Amino acid sequence: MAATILVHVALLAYAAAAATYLAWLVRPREWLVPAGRALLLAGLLLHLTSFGAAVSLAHGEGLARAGFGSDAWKGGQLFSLLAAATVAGYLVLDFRYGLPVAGAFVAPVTVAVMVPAHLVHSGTRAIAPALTHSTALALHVGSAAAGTAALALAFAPKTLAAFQAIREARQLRGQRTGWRAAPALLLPLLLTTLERALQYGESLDARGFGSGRRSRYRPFHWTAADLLVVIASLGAIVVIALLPAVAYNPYVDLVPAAPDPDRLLAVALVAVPAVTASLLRVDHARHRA
Amino acid sequence: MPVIALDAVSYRYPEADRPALSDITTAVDPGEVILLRGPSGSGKSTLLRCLNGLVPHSTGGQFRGRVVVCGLDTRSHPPRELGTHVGFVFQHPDAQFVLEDVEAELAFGLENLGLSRPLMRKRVEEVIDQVGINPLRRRRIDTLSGGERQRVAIAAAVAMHPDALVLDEPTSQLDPQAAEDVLQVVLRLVAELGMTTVIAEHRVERIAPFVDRIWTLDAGVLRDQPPRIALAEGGARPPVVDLALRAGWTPIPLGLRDARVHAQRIGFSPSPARGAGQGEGVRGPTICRVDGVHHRYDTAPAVQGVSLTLRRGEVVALMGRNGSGKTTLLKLIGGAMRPQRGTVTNEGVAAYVPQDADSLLFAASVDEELRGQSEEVVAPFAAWLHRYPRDLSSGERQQLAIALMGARADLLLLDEPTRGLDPQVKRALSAYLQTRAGAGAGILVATHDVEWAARTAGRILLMADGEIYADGPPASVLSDSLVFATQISKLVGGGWLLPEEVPL
Repeated sequence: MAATILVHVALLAYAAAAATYLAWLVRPREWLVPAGRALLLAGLLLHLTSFGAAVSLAHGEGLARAGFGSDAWKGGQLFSLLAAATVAGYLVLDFRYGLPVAGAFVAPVTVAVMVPAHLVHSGTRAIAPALTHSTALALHVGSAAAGTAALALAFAPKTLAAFQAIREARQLRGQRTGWRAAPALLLPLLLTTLERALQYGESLDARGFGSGRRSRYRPFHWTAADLLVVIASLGAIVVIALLPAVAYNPYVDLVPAAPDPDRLLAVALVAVPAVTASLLRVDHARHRA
Repeated sequence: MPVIALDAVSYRYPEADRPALSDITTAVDPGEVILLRGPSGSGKSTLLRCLNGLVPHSTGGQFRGRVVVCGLDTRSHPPRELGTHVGFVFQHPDAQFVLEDVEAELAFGLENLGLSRPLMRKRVEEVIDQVGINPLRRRRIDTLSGGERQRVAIAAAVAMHPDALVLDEPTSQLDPQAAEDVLQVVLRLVAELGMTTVIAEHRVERIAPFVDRIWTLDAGVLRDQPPRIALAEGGARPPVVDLALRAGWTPIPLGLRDARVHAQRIGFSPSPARGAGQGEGVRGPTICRVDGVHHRYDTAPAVQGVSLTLRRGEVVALMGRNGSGKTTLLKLIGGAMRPQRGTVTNEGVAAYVPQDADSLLFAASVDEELRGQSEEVVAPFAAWLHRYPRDLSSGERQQLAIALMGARADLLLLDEPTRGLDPQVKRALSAYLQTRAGAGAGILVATHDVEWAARTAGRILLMADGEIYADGPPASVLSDSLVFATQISKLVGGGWLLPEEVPL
């Protein structure tokens, strides 16, 4: 129970940190950055303490309960641990290099990853167990997956290219390039990526981005495909919400159960946006008034 | 009223021990064209960034004095506001784009101004014609070459109808043809639109005839002078100016055209013509033998049946247009790639130094980069030891990377080492390479820099379409080429390449 309360408070601290950093993005007041950093640090300490408390309270099942103080859903603990690790990693980098802009990204993502899982394990579960459970689960996994995918899409190709360049450079200088050299590769990779981000920011500034209300050169028009994607997505959320809750089982069943028609429907609806996107390649250059 | 006014501007980067700019007072009137020159690390980029507020808003540090752009004080107006008055073109062709395709990129600044759609469309069409990039309008940015990107960047800046255009060495990362295309665009904008322009550019010989004044920066101190006085005093200047000063011509010609008119008027023709025997190659022991080497990428052949012998003690320049296979050949010789057919035999340790020296440096300080190197290698960098390698200017980084890579090799393969370097550093690089060659190293340099190659190399290779089509001493290979000819060779002919060798 103590562990659960600690996580509640930690989550509040993360949310406050996220709000502080976002406020700093809008109005860059000097004091907001140290405040956000302090809140993140406080949240992290409470969060880590909750892991410790859970472990000491229940020896055998300790880790399974850690981070949530509940034994129902083990996937949640994993995400919770991941969130704590992300915040810890960010704080280390922030301390060394001073990266408040990244804080404005890390803090909200942490909250987005933790809140839905947290809902599952709070009092609301007792009131409307099935509905809350499955909706929250869908939201939770959805936000984590969407965050990862967005990051991967935005940064992966350029980061991989930079990584390759650094590896080649080390080869040229006759230094190690194997897995053991990975730590030596990571710092320059991080610096290259940060330099890019700075250049991108300067470029946006130099082009007058954010100087006033923007207009649009190529307005987006609703098409039948857009409508299809929205309806399918909403439909998927509704169907998933109505599905009866099942316990999360991390182990693959050797004998698969017979397919369940409403689950198949949910999967089909989730697949619609991906299929539509790959079938209809939108040519943005043609979207012109 | 001046478009840009600087009043006692001093600036120091955070944690820097000396100011980057000290006490600069000057102004730019509407329609004026200013050339900014100065050695690597003299503060050119910093000064230009003051003009749109990136310094100090984006960099921090200690800023004194006042910069007023179109009546706006840069201390109280952020770069995004100044960005609508000052169009800025950055040095790196790939670091300044926000969107994916050319047309969207051109419209991006206009969207930020909140213009109506019909007006944006009109402006986009106009700027496409002004800059001449109609064939590029539907292309994705990542498929454009460096020169095309810089032209798009200029168009994107001009589309906003800024009061002034500021260009930070827009051609320093480009080959001569692409650089010429970009400069043509700049000169046309200057001539046709009367655009107020401040440009930092190391190809002084191309731009000098068109500028109203030259700003010379040295260690943060600015001198604002008329072109002829600035060029006569020193710094980066066209080779014809060197010749004119030696020959005592007045007034000093600013470009090749001026010089040609003057030379014809006074009947200047150096004689006797240079003998073909001069500049004959060195006959040292072979350090590298390339035999029938082929290499092709998925789409196109890069190197086709190249055979070549490199000797100890010689500095060889490899020249050719972009995509002619120079880099691939260097990588094949250096062992960074294996030939698909043919053999490369090296009689020593080869080191390949890529174009992008930045990626070679990844330690936390210059001191750490140089750890384990001999005193001889470390000595020239004594002043930088505590600095962070990526904070050095691009020329300084290049020097450090070459010294590091060169230290352990006796066959040195350099890819475009002079890109973006000032004349002083270029001369130092020539001296370094000649010393290394004198000590028995073999050196092969891929370069577009004709003047530097003529001054440094004893042998020139011309490459096109994966093949070497000319091989010989500079006097014979460079003097009868139209593209790879030095300014002096274009002016006086007769096999003379450099101002100091022309008999008066």
